[in-house]
Amino acid sequence: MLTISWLRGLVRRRPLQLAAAGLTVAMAVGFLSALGGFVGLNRSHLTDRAAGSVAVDWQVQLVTGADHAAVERTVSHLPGIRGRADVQFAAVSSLSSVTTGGRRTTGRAYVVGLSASYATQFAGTFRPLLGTQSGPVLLQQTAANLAAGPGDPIQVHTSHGVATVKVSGVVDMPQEDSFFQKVGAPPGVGPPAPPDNVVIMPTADFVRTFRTTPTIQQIHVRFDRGSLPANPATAADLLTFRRNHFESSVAGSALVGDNLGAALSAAREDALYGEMLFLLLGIPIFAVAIAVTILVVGMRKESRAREVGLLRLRGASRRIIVATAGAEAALVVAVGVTLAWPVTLGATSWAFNRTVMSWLWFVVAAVTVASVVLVAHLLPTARRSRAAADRPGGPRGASALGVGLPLPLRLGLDVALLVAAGGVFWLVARGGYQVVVVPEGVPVTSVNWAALAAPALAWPGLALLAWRAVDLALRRPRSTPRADGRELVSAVVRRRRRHVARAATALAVAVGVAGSTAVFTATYREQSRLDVALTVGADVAVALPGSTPDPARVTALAARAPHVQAASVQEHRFTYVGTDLQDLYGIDPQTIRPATALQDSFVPGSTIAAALNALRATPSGVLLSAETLHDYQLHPGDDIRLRLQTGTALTYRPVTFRVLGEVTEWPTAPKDSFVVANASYLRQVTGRAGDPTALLASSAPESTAAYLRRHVGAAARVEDVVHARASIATASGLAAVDLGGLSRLELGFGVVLAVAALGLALLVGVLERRRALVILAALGASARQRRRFVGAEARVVLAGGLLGGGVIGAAMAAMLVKVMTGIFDPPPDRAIVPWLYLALLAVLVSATAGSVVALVGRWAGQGHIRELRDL
Amino acid sequence: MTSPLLTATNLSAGYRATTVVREVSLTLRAGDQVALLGRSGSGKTTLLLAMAGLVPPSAGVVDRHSLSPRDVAVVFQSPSLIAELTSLENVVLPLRLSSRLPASEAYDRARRALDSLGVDAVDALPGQMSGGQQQRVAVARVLATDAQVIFADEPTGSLDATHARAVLSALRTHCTAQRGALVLATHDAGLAAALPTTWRLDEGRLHQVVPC
Ligand SMILES: Nc1ncnc2c1ncn2[C@@H]1O[C@H](COP(=O)(O)OP(=O)(O)O)[C@@H](O)[C@H]1O
Ligand SMILES: [Mg+2]
Repeated sequence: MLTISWLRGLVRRRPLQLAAAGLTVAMAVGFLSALGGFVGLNRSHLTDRAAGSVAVDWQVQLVTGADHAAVERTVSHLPGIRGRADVQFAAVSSLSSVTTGGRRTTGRAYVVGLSASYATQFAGTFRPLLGTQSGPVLLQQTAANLAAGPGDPIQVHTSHGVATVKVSGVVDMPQEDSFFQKVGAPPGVGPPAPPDNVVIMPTADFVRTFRTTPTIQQIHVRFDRGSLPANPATAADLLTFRRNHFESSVAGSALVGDNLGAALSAAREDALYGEMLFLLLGIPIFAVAIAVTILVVGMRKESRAREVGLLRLRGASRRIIVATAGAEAALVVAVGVTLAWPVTLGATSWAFNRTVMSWLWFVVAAVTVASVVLVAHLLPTARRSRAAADRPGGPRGASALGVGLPLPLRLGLDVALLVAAGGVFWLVARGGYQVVVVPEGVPVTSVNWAALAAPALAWPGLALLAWRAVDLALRRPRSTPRADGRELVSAVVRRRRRHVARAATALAVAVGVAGSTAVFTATYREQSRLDVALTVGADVAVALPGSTPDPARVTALAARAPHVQAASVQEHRFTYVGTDLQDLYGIDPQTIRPATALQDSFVPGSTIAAALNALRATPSGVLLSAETLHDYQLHPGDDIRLRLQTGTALTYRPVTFRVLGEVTEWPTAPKDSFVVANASYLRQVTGRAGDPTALLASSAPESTAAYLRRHVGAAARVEDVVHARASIATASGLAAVDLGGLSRLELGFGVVLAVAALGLALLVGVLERRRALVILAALGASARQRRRFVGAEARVVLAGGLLGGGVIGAAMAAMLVKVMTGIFDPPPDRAIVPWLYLALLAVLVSATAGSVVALVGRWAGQGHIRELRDL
Repeated sequence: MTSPLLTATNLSAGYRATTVVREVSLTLRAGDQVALLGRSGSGKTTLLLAMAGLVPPSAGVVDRHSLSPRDVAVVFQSPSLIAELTSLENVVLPLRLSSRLPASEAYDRARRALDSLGVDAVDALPGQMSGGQQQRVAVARVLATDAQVIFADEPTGSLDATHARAVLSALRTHCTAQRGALVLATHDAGLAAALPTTWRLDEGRLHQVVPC
């Protein structure tokens, strides 16, 4: 009863402090539950994305002699089935064609038979390039090898004889690798290189051609993706389970190539990276939020001490005193949690463009914050009520001067933590920083927790170091008299260095969190842009098919398009490296650099500038993939013979090149092996040009692309990064974890927390010094002089906080980028610093300090009778 | 008669609903040394603060004539020292705030003031001193200034007899030297008797006691 009436009195007397405490609780809980929302969103997003890139979910392959009808029946009973079609494969000895240049014959080839509805049921399997798909179609590479197009006849050579078919179109197969996979191959073998020569034809034609030839029979299956679990890991497990069940129910007469399961498994890694991000970026902010909450609760320390004294005077027992503190904490938590609900919804709708409420996270956050608030209320109260009992009416205030370092710093914990963090970092970085471990061939990913120990140790270490640094800076000797008694102002700051150092540390951590997050996300965004630009080729890329009448005219036009800052033409062709057909990019080393984003990481062991210089100096130079260098035991300076299509007859002839080094990534190049060489040299030795792509650097990619689409004609394919980012799913996980929402959330809360930490720390400082300000007023200090006493402290806190925050932010950003290297593909050359955000942060924080000081100056100027009477 | 330093006319002061000081009229002139005698709770502190201009009157006026705020000093009832400053720094604070004196002279004066009251712990912080020491530092802070009118609120409350005498005589010497006035609030009739004039405050009303 006493507790209730006391609580009512409290609400009447201290509504502002209670509201502030409730609001910070709401912020902390809101932030954590919004962050939890990100985890959930990220997972479902990843399942959608991973599934979206798969056209054929399952390839059910019948073993020889299996009962087709029985398997078919079992397939039709699979849960959530959306589409199914028969597919037949036949290996043939070769394909051939007769062209003006003579007869052309390929090596071993595949013929694929598909039902008519296949293309619609499994949309995305084929990308039409030329002609129609009503009859036999050729893969792009095959068409190039045979120099055949729509309307041309080609011959299929089987062991039974030769069949002639008429080509109706040319297509590209984006998922060639999985389509031609060896179903049932042991895990870890990896997909074999897809065949270079493929003819795809309707089942009717297929049956007519291969009546007696043994074929591989598959049933392709597509599931209803909407019914899959949101978490890619769970979805992958579900599919594995479904697959095992299926394989056992057909009793070994069919095997399953689980493309969807494989894609979802691969997304596990991205999901784990998403969770790492959550840990690395989320926990520090949550810790700052908790620190701010403790600061706010601490604001009532003085007045609560008085109340405890009063309660004791009225004879309240210790139990009742503790109960009142508990009741206050409960009230704060209740207000905070109630407000946290709209805060979560607001934050998620702002960050993710939709409201997300993850109740589990909400409850976890609420319980965590509630315990912190409870402890922050109860601990000092219990201590004080005991002390008051021991020593009634003891002196107050004056003796509570904090000068010494806190125990952890006296023990050198900061140094110990940083040394440990450095050691762990060094150890882990030595073996290439790998947070998410993906063992080869095993469909399991795990987290290398040791890798996370470095930032986990570095955070508190740096925070404590900031404390020590501020303390050290304030430990200067007594200052000599200066104008207007400023030496007394600095004496006060010096003797309050514990409070000042704590406030500066709080600010430094908040600024450090916001700053490192900003740098990390800016770097991530830049790399993700680069990832897309790499796929597209440049800001804008204009790809021309080989048949374009006057390619030079088009590329010249592209170079003069609006907003184009630099342009270079890169030519594409195919080349045989041994028996392996690889993409070959003919570049112009003079002009390519400014036209597209090339990074040093593309050429391991060298720099882009050095690699381009080497190409310029060596016309016959080539850059090769690591596998090629390894497989053929090649070293820089060695010669290599590549077979290239030469002359008008387009026959493959060997040409000698000089190996310059390794290349891992190149604009428009695939993820697997490819070759980079000088375009001029290639033209000279083959007597013909490759298919040109104009790579354009543009300040406004969308409008440049729009202009070009209108002016270059239908044959050219114009792509730009802005468009592509929205539509293509790049192969790497980088684009998969959508950081946009998370970074908005982080950066928003980062600013709010930095401002709150500073404002509250200064306010707490002023509340502690209310008495001193009243004394100053009574001694005739002007408003300006009183402001100076507060302002000096604010300046030190601000300077220490911003400086310390800068150092912490830089160190943590570097570490974050390093720890999360695996999430970047390609890895960044350097971190991107978003100066605008950082400047804004500094300005906001400084403005907060300024307004607190101005406010306090005005407040302290008014006569405060109660304080005066207490003097 | 000299011209008045401070005149209060029908002065009333108090806290919200309660009026503590009722319709007090008085005049302070140079050379006045007055004991304000009253029981605890009679309104002495309130009257002193109202006269010093630190508490607004609820009725009536206080005319401080040509006195500037810095010419009026208060020794507060509980030692009102800044916790982060040493004795010396606390005493020198008002001098440094006004910057009428060069720094070295200000510190000299502060040292002399502390010396005159027998405070030798010049570098001690308030938290390291006894209540009595703190009270003497607070008195020294007033003595170091050029204040013409001093309102001292029970300045000897927590002092032994020897120190109390020293404080009283230092305050009186300062007043005489400054040709100013001293009002010393006390509940101790013996102490009041040491001053030439006594005003008795009873239930917020002022009665002049003419010495016999
Ligand atoms: N802040 C306050 N609010 C309400 N009443 C007060 C306050 N301060 C003092 N009083 C009351 O005013 C009366 C006079 O107080 P005070 O001037 O301190 O007397 P004295 O100094 O003679 O002991 C007392 O009854 C006291 O209870
Ligand atoms: Mg009093």
